[in-house]
Amino acid sequence: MQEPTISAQDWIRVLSRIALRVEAEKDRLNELDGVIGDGDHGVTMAIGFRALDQALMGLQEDVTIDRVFQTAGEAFLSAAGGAVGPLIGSMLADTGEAFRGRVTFGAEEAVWMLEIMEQALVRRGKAQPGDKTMLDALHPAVIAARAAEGEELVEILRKAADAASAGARATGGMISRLGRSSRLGERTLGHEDAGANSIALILRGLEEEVATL
Amino acid sequence: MKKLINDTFQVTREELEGFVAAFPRAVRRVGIQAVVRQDAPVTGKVGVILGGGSGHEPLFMGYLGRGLADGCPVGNIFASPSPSIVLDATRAVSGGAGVLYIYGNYSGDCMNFDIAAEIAEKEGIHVETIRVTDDVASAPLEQKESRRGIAGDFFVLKAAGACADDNGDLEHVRAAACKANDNCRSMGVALSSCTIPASGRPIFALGADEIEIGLGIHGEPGESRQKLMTADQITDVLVSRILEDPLFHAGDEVAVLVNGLGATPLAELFIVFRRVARLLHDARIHIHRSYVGEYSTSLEMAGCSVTLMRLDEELRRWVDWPANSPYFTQVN
Repeated sequence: MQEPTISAQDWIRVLSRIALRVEAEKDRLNELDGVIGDGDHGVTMAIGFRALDQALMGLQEDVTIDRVFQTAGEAFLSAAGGAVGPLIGSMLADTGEAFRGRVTFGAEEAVWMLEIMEQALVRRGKAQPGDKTMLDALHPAVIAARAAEGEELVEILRKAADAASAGARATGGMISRLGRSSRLGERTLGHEDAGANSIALILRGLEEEVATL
Repeated sequence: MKKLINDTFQVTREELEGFVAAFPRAVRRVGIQAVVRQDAPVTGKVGVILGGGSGHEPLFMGYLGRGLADGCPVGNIFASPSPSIVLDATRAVSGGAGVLYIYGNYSGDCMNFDIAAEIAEKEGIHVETIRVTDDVASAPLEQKESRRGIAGDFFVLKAAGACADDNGDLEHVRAAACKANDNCRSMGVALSSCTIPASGRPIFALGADEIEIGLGIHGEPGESRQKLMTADQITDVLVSRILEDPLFHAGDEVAVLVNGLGATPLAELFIVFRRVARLLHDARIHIHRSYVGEYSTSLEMAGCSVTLMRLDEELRRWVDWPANSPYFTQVN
């Protein structure tokens, strides 16, 4: 059987569908952020993904995979602002940079993409695992994806998404050590990080939308 | 939520449109969310950029003008502007002598302004950066570089803007801003919370008789929650915390800023200032110049902050330097 690969046009579809999911979940993300932040995380994510969706609609038929990610990252970065803009924007743009010249995207590339995204997040946000940030969803996702190497693409994405969801839930037991909420210290215990939940939402969307291709 | 808004996604954009329409002689808009001096770029002058999220008016764009800021990239409420907004402002104020970025020390601002600075350098615009860290409540003195920036933005801008207006080069302007920041200390108190339109709910809850000492300008929690006290008692707490930093000594000269957070009447700010003046007099610290009013607000939050900047001959000169902007004018 031919190993399934995700084309540039598929990526446009997948990222646009993820944008819809973020839009639908923005109130829940706002509420999570409202407990230990200023309550606008969902709206900031929605602003970024609306711009991303707009930018992808303007791409030509013959666009390449790296261009899709570059465009998505730049659009998100330019529109979202806040800390979220550089973090998610760099995850997407760095993926684009790394995939320059690549025409196929299969199981192997999926693991690689998640690794690049984690590196981008660490480089920009200077977070470490356990700081109660986006990284606490993405880091376990990368570990799970690596452990699933050799399996089919959707299976790898499913395991990554499962790990990200578990990671986001686990932030409830962490004390914030980075960003605005770190001022709350122990008062952040018992509340999940909104950014980690956004990562879990994106990775779940990735898995489920790729599965429908 | 009871607010004069149309669309929660358009608040900052519509605010900027109104601001530019109100002061067409002083400012103009570039791109979607940057505002610059009408006469920018001033050839041969260092471009001074002051920016951050909106919701702190008249900071930042109220201080666009001679002796103050040349450009203000404005983010959505309480959110850093994106690199593209910062770059719009940077390009528009670049008069060939370099650009200084001034912003409060918040992780989002640091990331977005750093990305913008990297791109500006590639375009041949030399950028230096000063992150304002005046809030003593946000970290101990040993971690001064991780403190937040609050109303101290105004004094740092005042020094940098004056030095740039005096034709200081970029290194000189950066050094003036750095010295102002090193000599600036602030401490605030909140009497009520505020609501970001995007969330629709108060950032935090305070009981009817409670105050939060040391609260940040985005509703970050402070050092302690206490029962309401008199203005004098609260001022005693704020000033004593500021003077705990071993910066101010008997015989020093300072500039004082008593800043309202948005919903506190000027009358109350004067009651606070009265006590600040008394305390400084007792500590034999001389007030060279005072500012009382709304400079750096937090939407409709009630409360105030007190900022002291220790002056030497150079900082005194920059504080006294004339300034002319829509929300701050100083003739002499």
